[in-house]
Amino acid sequence: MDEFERALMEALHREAAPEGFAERVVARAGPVKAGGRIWWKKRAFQWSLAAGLAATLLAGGLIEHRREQQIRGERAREELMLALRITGVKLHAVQERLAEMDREGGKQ
Amino acid sequence: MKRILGAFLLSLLLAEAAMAQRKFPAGIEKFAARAEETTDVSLDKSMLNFASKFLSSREQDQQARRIIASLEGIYVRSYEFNKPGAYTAAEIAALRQQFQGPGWSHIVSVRGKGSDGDTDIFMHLGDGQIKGMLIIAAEPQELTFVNILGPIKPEDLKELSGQFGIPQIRSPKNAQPEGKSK
Repeated sequence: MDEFERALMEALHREAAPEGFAERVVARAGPVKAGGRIWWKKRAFQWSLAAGLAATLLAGGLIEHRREQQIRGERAREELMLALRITGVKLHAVQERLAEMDREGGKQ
Repeated sequence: MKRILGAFLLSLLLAEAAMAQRKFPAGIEKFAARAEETTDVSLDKSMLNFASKFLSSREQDQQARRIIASLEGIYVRSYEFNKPGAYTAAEIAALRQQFQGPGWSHIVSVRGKGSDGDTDIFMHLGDGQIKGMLIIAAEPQELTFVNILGPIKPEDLKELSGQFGIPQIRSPKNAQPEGKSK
């Protein structure tokens, strides 16, 4: 073993920790660290739950609005077609009657 | 004297404007009580626009779209009675009378035989243009009022009578619309 190796061994030799070192470390750092993580996780979970709920409500509202619009639109369309059909029937009856009168006039 | 004349002319103009905007002839509500069934369709400009968004690409829907494009409203009221005699000829004459004033032209008057009924078509004219059309169809067991507001074109009428499930008939050669009655 040369001089260099002996110096290296002295520098890296195992040394026992002072009495109560581990307990002091845990007492000082452990509880604070653990509590902070729980708080953060709890808040993140609450926010994501609220965001999810809001998104679901918004999506549900939009779907319902679109469904109502569709129903109202279909009803308006049906009413429009009914109005045009009634108008058409009356106009057609007039045309038919005029054509009939025209034919009768032509015979005389 | 001038003031009285001016007030009279103004009241005439206001009455005319009110008549033009009215959806149905005054006093038709009384028929509702006698009717077994009432059909009431009221579509103003915004509802017509809304309804047009839900029309399909089918030919009939496209025709409806073309017809309503420039219209301001379509109003239909139809009363069905369970037996004839639910209204008198005088009541209908009073309704027709409401559209004899300036701005209205009585273009067709068809008096039917038996169950045919009578039909009158009035055009609302202004500034040299058609501004609307009113139909009064009085059949023994049915009374129908149709009011179309807006510039309806003659070709629209042709489409109306020839489509919507109704077979088209050829136009009469010597039709004399006004006052043609039997």
